[in-house]
Amino acid sequence: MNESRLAQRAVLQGMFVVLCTLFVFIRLLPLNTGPDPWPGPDLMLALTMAWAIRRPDLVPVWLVAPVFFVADMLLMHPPGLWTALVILTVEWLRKRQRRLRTLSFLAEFALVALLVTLLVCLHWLVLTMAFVSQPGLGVQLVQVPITLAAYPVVVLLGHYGFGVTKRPAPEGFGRGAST
Amino acid sequence: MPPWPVGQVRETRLAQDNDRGNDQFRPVRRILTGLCIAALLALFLVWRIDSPRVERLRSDIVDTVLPHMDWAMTPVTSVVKMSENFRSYARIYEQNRELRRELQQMKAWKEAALQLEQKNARLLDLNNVKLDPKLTYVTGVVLADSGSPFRQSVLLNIGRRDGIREGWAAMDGIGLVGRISGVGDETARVILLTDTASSIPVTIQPSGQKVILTGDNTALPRIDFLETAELVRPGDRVVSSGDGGVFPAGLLIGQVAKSPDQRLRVRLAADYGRLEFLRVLRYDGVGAIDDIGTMVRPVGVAPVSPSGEAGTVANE
Repeated sequence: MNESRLAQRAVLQGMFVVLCTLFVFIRLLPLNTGPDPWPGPDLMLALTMAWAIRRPDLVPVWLVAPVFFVADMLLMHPPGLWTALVILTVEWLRKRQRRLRTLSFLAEFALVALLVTLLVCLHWLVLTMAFVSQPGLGVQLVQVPITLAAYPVVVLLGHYGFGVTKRPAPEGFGRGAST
Repeated sequence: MPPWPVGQVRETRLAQDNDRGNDQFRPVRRILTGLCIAALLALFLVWRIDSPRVERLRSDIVDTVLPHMDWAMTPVTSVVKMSENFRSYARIYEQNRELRRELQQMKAWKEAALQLEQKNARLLDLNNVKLDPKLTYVTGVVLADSGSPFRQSVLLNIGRRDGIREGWAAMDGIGLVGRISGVGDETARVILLTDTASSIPVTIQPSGQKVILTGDNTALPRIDFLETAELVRPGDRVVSSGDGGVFPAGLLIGQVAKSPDQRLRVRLAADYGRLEFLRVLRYDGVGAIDDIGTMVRPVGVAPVSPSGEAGTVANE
């Protein structure tokens, strides 16, 4: 970990904040104020998961928490819950990062699909248990495939735009040897 | 314990990456993460129990963040809108002709409206009717959309500073749009009629039936609690009824429409596709009548204080 790599990491972390701000910004633009039949993709979640799988050091908790919390507040979500769920997911991925490194993209995609569905269901479950009025689970699950469709785009953007790639698995840290 | 020699791996690890933080800090990190999640969940619980307090925090955050984004938002919005308008230039000739034709019709209507207005004024004068006092309003610009696909609200650039209060009605030029819910210093949020949290008492015009208009995240809100459906036809006017004292009575909301599944819904008069300027009506509800009527007594009898009188009546 030398100086230049530290600087690069700081730049990419800054980029994460900038991209998230951009995504929130796009959604807040008052272009079409009527109800949309199709919800847009949850780009922030896709970005966070893509980067958490590739470079967990770019999405530390002290960065993800405030970004998602402010987004929660601005986008009228129930405050805190979604943020907490996202942090849990990121930590879960961080813990398994050595195993994730050897994953093919298809397997990674399946994992992300599972996690996003699980997140939405969990979010719905907690809100239901707290008797918060919310749209039905089916309506919310419609957003999942849309988010997943955006996932490869986000990954490619990270890959070619910012060089966020999986690090090659170091020798002796293969599938069998990982914790 | 890992199956590899620890010292060597440790060096490789430190050299390779620092993803999981230094080993000696890892427990601390884990505790901090746990605390962070616990704090967020606690906030969620507090929000659930004492929502106004947290919503105030939310409107404070919105109030500090959004005005800073405005400088970027306004140009982007206007550029996109301009490009949309530019597309319509292609058929400008056609549109022009259409507009001329409509203008002709409008002139006829204007004439009719003027005559009716005069007639109405005369009749009102004859009947000596006291109408509602004129409502004054504050106009605001729409700053931002709610951003969430499941919430229908917009943010205005006026707030407590301009005297905006919770619950006031917001209209575009024609029809009711929603009500103020959440006021910051410089911003205020308007919950649209299409939001699931919005249900307002309305009257369906010719038949005078009172129903509740409930938003359900579609463009056409639902009509609930309709007593006799036979009296309501698609095309009937829907106006606010003023029940509950939330909205002034008689604000235009839209027309009744029938959805394909034979449900009665309301096509809103306000142009929800492009909300730009909204009027917020200053209205604090009708003043309640708070004193009980006192007894009418002949002239010359010494007045008794109303409270004392009420007491004697009660004792008898």
